[in-house]
Amino acid sequence: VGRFVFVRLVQAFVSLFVLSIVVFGANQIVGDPTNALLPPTTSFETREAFREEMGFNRPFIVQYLDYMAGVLTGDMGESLANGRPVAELIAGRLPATMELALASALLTLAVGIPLGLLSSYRRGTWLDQSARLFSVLGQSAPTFWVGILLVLLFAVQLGWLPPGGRGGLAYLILPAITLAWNTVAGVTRLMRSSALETLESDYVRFARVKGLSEGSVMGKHVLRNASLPVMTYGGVMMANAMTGSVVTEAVFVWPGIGRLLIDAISARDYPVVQGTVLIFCAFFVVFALLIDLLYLYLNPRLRAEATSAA
Amino acid sequence: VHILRNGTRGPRRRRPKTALLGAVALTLVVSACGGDDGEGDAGNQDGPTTLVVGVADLGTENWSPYIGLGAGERPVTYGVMERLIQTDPETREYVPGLAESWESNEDSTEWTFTLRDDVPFHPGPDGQDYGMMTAEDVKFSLGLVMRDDSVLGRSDAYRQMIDNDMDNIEIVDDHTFRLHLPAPNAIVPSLFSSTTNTVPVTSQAYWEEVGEDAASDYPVGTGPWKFDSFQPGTSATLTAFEDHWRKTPDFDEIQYRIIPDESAMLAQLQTNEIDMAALPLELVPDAEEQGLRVVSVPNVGVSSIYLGGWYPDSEFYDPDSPWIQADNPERGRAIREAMSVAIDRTAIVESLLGGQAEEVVAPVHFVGGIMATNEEWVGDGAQVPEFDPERARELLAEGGYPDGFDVTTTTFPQPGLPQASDITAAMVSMLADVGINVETRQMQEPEYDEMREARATSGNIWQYIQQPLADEPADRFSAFLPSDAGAEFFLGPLAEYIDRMRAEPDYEARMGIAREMGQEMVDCVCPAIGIAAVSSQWVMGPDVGDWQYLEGLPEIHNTEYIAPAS
Repeated sequence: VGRFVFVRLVQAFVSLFVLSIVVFGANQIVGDPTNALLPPTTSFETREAFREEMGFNRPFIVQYLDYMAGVLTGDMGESLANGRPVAELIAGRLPATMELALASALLTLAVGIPLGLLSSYRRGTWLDQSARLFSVLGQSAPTFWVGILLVLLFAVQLGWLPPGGRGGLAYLILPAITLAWNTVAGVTRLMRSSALETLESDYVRFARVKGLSEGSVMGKHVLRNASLPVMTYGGVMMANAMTGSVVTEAVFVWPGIGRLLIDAISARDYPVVQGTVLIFCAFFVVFALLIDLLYLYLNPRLRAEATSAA
Repeated sequence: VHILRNGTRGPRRRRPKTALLGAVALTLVVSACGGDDGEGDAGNQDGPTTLVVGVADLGTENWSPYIGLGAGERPVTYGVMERLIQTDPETREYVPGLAESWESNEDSTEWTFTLRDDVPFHPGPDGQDYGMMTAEDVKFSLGLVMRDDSVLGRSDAYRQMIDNDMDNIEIVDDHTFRLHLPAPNAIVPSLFSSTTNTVPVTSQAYWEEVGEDAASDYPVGTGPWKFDSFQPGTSATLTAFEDHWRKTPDFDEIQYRIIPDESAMLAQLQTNEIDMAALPLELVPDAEEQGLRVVSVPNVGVSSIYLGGWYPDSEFYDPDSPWIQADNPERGRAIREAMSVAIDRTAIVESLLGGQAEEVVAPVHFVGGIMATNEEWVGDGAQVPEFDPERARELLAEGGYPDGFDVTTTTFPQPGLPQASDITAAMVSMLADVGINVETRQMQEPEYDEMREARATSGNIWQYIQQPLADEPADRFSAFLPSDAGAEFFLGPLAEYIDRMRAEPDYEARMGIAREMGQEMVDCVCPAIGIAAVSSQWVMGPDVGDWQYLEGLPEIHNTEYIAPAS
């Protein structure tokens, strides 16, 4: 088990390393950052002075190592727009994004799992059909469209909820629903298909033959076993919740990292763009690692495989 | 609130394994409920009243007197820090601000300012006392805006004013200072007035105590609003300074909330989350349908077509461009006139600008107020060029380009002026109709700024909404001297009018010189081609009453004079 964990940790670090090169190199691949930062009419001398000042004339590997050395010590450079440290800007916005992502994840689990379970249990009924329609809509409707629709309906027309901003619980509801709908749909579909498979299994049939109540069968046997694939999806779901916040935060004026990224792109504030994308990548990798470890803990077969391999 | 109640209602028996999930959810709910409710609550609460103003951004989010002077930062900077001279919103006359009085000697080479002696600085972030505002503080603040790295467009005007020598600012006593000028300058009050982007006064003791970084994050001044808090990219909050010497605001707090998306801004207004915000024209009807009041602030900018390479007597001058043709100036003039009559100003004003604009005859009106109209600028005989595409084609032929020519144009979003890109699109289409093919290149404003500062505009024409900068024509047009990094063009021979105006102590006589200058611009169809003076539309929520705004200022200002709805 220890070796499995060690391998997964190494894989996570390698992934982060590769991603950091990709993120940092993206500026170089699309061209000299000077071209993006200065207008085409800027004189050669001004360009050279700018490159010198920004360190763009150094070899790529030197620039990368310099940047990463900074990142590892918490220095991600300074915003070109306002001169503030990028790490400080991201740290200031992180709680808002985490709050939204967590709310969205909880909503996803609270709605997606029961709905998927119910849908499989009532297979072929109107309830199943409705859940499937809900899932298709959720996975196909663009987030910004859902967001705007919810604002128009619940904030502007009905006046029940605020249209945006960050404040109390009321402010969290619409953006969390917007962000969660897509993942709720995914979890519902996954849970349904996984539960259908479980319902056909011998141990579920045996449990029923033993005379266990349907609630006990569904709760103890089906839910527990069908949840494992959903768990795997949980990492992607949480990471999606973080990165999906880019659109949702813009629609709901939510002061998180997503809006920071959009503002930075508009202002061509590339240190902030770079830092924000790197943080998103780190979230993906960390969530994937956590899910792997959790899966190892929950799935005895995988644990046995890991032990025998060691 | 209903949903919160419903969501927490209904006991549910939790099994141990779901308890953790429940605890996390509860923590989230509690933390979310504990936050600021964030609602715009202008004038309808028992507690403190907050005026919430929606803004697209707060610029660099730096409030130092020499950086925080862009359109984004100004609402905070000038809310906290005051200027020496106020402007009466009704008459637009200069009235005492921090300076009780100001006077010059006979030839305007010496200006003496007498400051009020009863104006305290706000306390610092930890309640420190910085005493009363003195002449030393004003001199220190003037020194800040004159720094080489000052972003203030007219920082050079200050340097010229005192011959770049701080010793020319003589401290007479605690509340009197005297400016010794190298040349007559009758427009000095304009350089300190509240109509324009001028010196915000801060405390020298505070800056020296906390250092520049801290002072830029938490400004201390004497204004009607005291800095309270700031969340980067989100909002800035100021609180009313009790018993302010000039005007204690009616609201207890003002919060500038950053809402970059215009549709989101409208939704926030419609739901009374924010109390006021500027909206683009196309969204105004939606706001009106909801019963919201719209206040139109006229003349916040003048849309003109700028002609690339117009830098007479400099290395950047482009003598061969179709609109210059230095070896045959009459042909160049014909091309400029062709471009002018090819523009259907009426259509632009009526269709694109919803009638909330005025067609103009000359470019770059220098002020939103006193000389904003054509008659005021160039006299009664001012005639807006009539739209005549046939005549435009004839003029192109007279200018040596019977088949038209190709040019490029740069277009970029102008903060607070969403109509700019529409006008550019209309210009491109109208010029194409007469044979001038314009290739459009999209850019962002910083890129435009770089291009302008590099004087790299050859072969380019572009439409730009120039915002008024000063009441005094000489002050306004000094932004088009070669010494100004941001100049879109150089005045060339027209610069002599600036010297004449500066030397003329009589106000009416100065305005007469300004009209001569305006007429010359109209006659030569240069250095730019005026299209329309545009307005900004402020949508006000139900809790906001009257606002004594100053015509010509596009950003939110005079917030201490915004009253709650009665």
